[in-house]
Amino acid sequence: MAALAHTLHPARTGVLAVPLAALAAGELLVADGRLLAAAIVDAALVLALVNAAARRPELAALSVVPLVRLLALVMPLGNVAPPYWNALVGVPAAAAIVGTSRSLGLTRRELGLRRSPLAAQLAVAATGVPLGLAAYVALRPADTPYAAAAAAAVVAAAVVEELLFRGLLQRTGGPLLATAAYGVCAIATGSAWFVLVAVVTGAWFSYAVARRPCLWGVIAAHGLAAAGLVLVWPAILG
Amino acid sequence: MTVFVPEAIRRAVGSTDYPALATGTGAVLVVLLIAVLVELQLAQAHGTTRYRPLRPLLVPLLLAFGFVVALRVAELLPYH
Repeated sequence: MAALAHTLHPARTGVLAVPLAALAAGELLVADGRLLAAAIVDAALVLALVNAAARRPELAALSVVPLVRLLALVMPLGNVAPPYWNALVGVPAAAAIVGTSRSLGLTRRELGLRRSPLAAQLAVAATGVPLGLAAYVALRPADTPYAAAAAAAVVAAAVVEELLFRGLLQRTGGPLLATAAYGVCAIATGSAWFVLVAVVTGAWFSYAVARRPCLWGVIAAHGLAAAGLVLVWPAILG
Repeated sequence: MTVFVPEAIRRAVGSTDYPALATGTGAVLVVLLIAVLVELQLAQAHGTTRYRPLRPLLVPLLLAFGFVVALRVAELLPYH
């Protein structure tokens, strides 16, 4: 409760509302297909956030979010087979997360890469199955060729995303910022239902990590949900 | 669940406008990289720690730059 009150303090909320609104504008441009404009907005946001981060460490963590979207826009995806696109973006994204965590003095343990009771983590992981089904119903992605390679890349990307949102962002800015940023990133899909599923998923993952500060359960849940979204549910229901 | 590469970007990669778009976004990357490098040099010159959060940006930006250049060079090399 104290963490929530700290997160909802008007001064903090006001400072974070502006970059989140700018991030949402960039995501709307992506959803609308105006990718060059989105790249310019994201690059400007990255630069603004890192320059404002000297006094507010959560802004340094938040700068990684538009940076990851910018990487997705600038990486030469046309030269690589689609199943490897997430991996191509995930490698520099992981480097950004590791670098920012180090610059903020966060250890692996503080990011949530620590031991926790197995039963509790398995219970969290199991929620990935219905969340994957909900995401599939909301998004109905096209059937993918190279399904196994795509699933492996998507599960690896799930690790990077959890380190970013529930690790770095939640640790520095609190669960509300982590959930809001995760929901805003889903705007790029152009599906209001998927944004709703992402907000519910993000809120649940943030709650689980706030209750027991360990990422393994949410990483497994995210991986299961992602694999279900691109591989399992399209095969069963598609 | 995974939002790294949304559908709008996937569609753009397959479109005829993609080469022009890739050039434009590549230019944005280069401008951002130059801005970060200049700020870091200014910070070093003035001995301030204010720009310390800029340093973690360098590795991902240079990685992306390296990927783009390497794949463009590979495109130019003739097949044998």
